[in-house]
Amino acid sequence: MSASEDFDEISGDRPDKIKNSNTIEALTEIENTSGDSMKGTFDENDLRDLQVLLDQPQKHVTPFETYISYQISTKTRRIEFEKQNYVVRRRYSDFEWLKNQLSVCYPTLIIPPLPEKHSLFEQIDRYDRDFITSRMLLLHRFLNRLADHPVLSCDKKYQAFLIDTPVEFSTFKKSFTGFGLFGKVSESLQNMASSYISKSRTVEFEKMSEYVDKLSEKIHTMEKIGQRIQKERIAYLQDLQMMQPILNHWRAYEPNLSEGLQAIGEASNTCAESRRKLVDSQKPNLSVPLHEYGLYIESAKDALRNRDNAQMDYEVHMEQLCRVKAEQTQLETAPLSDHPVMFGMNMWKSPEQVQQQRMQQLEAGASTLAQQVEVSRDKMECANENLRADFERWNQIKSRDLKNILQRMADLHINMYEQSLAAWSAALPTVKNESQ
Amino acid sequence: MQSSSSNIVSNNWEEVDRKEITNLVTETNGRKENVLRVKEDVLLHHLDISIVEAEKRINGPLTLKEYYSVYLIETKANDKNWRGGLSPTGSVWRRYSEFELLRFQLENKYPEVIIPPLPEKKASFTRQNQSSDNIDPVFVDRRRVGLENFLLRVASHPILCHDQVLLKFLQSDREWSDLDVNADGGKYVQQAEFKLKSISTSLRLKKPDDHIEEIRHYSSELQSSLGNLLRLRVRLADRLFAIHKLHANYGRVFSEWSALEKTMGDGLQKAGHYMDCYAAAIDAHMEEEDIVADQLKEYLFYGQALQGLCSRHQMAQLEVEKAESQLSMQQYSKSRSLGQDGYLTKLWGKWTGTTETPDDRQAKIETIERNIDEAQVLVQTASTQLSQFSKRAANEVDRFHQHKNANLQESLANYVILQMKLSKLGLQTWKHVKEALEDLP
Repeated sequence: MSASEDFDEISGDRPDKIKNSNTIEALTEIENTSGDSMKGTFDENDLRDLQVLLDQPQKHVTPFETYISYQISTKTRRIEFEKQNYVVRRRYSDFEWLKNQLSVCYPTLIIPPLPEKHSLFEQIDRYDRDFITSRMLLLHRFLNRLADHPVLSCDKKYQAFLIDTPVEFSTFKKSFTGFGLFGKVSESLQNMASSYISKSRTVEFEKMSEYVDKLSEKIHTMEKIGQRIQKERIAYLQDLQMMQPILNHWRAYEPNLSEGLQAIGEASNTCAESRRKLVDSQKPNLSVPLHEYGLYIESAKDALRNRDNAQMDYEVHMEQLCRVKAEQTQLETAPLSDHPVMFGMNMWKSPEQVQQQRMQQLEAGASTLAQQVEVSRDKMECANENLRADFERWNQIKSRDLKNILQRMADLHINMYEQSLAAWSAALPTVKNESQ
Repeated sequence: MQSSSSNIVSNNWEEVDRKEITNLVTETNGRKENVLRVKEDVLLHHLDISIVEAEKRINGPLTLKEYYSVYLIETKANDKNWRGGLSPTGSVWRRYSEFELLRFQLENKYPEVIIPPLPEKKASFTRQNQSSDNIDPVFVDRRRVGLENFLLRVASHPILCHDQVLLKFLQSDREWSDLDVNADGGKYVQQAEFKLKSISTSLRLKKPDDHIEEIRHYSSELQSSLGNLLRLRVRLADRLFAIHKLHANYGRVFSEWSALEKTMGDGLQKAGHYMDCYAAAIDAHMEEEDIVADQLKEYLFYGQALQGLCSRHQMAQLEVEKAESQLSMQQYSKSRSLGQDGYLTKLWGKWTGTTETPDDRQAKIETIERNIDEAQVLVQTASTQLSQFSKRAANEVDRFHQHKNANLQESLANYVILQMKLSKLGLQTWKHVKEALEDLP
């Protein structure tokens, strides 16, 4: 733990620090996975008051573990920040901690998703360049989604994550450890309970939940279609590359058709090239973003479930209160002595005494329950309000993002077809002019 | 409302597209005709030939049904008096095996001609979703086109078009073949024999003709290149077909999704519609591509026809070599008879008790000389035949190359045009999709 913390503060320009901080030098290294190519820049035209940039992944090898850290640069005009610019380094587990904290503190907000820890579709090598790049982009998106969020961006933990020095941050993290565990357990208990009782939700949330379920199904289907198309595309590409060799072989025996055949071979090669671009850009531009949206929708589902739990809490308390009230009225109208069971159990007491005692018990229970009902109702209403607002917001972002993904997909296809068309059009005159 | 407006849009660009493409096609056709317009007076200039229809027929008893297809050949003469007269019109039904028989007869009669190949009996290089069934209507129709093409090629050939059997085949209601039609079986035996012979000739030849060897080599290269190309084409076509069809799933998802959305609904619906179009358009493209593939296939089969010509040439050459060896044998025996004063001969004569009188010897030498003369004549005729054969064959090969270059050039150009068309279609589709998405909030 301590070793990794030391590394957190080491950036590429201070390699001396490694030697001082680590006893086992030989096994230690910081490898700058790439030069400037992994370096990002802030968008000059971006007018948001809080901007976060994640770039420059570094590989850390210590005797205990190997991991990647990312540089996080923050640029802000908000008054709650002392400075305008911050630069820190964080690793994936720090992101995980932040996300868990946020989902515990804001159960009914839709928390942006993190990239999955071990993706089934990825290669096994976690230090592969593509894997790191893709994860870096997703982490960048995660932080910026938080930055754009009206509530989450003001969260203390998020802000600490962005600006704290490694030491500060680790102490800060420790102060939450117990709470985090507790929160997790209670949440999972609630989730278990929710499967037993599924009370009627209001129409509004029923609709939301239905929509989210269906949308997630659509996204998954699209992902699957994309994968199947990709598979066919790769096979097609491989076959298309065979075209030129075959034509070249034939050319040798057809002096009169030679030029035309050559032109066709070249055109099909250009097409193969443009198709390769499409195949290569499919993953970063379509399948990864779609998959991420699948995860985002999952967090919307979580938020909805947490809201349901709040409602359920309220309903359970309400029901108990009602039961108590019912017993009270029953006792008032009908004397206890009529009750055979109660009578049998309290043989040595006079019925009046028992009744009196019971009434008192009920009185006390009713008042605490009433309080609980009050609290849980507040919670539920709060949850409803939070979720309603956040869902509205999320819905807009979602439409925009999905539109962007689809448009990107269309753009890629348009590029590919433009290049193919140009290649074939260029070949046509040569193919036609032959035979003289 | 929604879909109708988008239909109009899509029709519009399709139309523009088609116009452009047809322009291109007619251009290539025009060029081809210029190249092929020869001054020869051939049957095709006097007779319009077309196969208008194919029909399925059933033969045999109920239990042993045999399905086969017959093709209706319709002819119309512009010039009834051409070369011994044509019927003004003709319409006859012929089945595939009759075409085979006709081709076989032409091959036998005109060994020095490259007989145009017939379309395939069984579909080869088929795409996955194509039926390879012999009586599949699509296949039968493509074969109809192929057979018509065969007739047109034969009728425009300067030698073949004058054949009387061909004329009867095209127009006569009654028997057209010189051969016993019953020779269905016999024909195959003959063909087999011929093949056997041609295999052995190439081995037995003393000095194979370089020119013919070159042609043989060319034809095998042509066959292997076209074979590879066609195989690759089928693979590519299958993949491309799958890719396009898979986009229909996007279409489905988009339209289901559009039902969920309030603000995104319209755009998604439209995008889905374009995806459906994208998937549907591949069928037509593939059909057109199949036609180009058939054109290439014809030249694949021409490769076999070239091989046939080479084999027949080799057989003619074998005749010459046979005659030559006969001659040399006779010459040898003559020289032996002349030198009969030898010791051994005398001994032989004494021992057998048949001493040869000078008269006998004279007579024997005379017979040998006569044989030599005969053999010389034989060698002469065979050689002239061979040289004629070579000359005609060379002409034929020239003619073949000329036509092949023009035809293949056209086919290749068509292939390129089809690819352009498909790229345009893809481009338009995705542009429309993008536009549709533009409407989303």
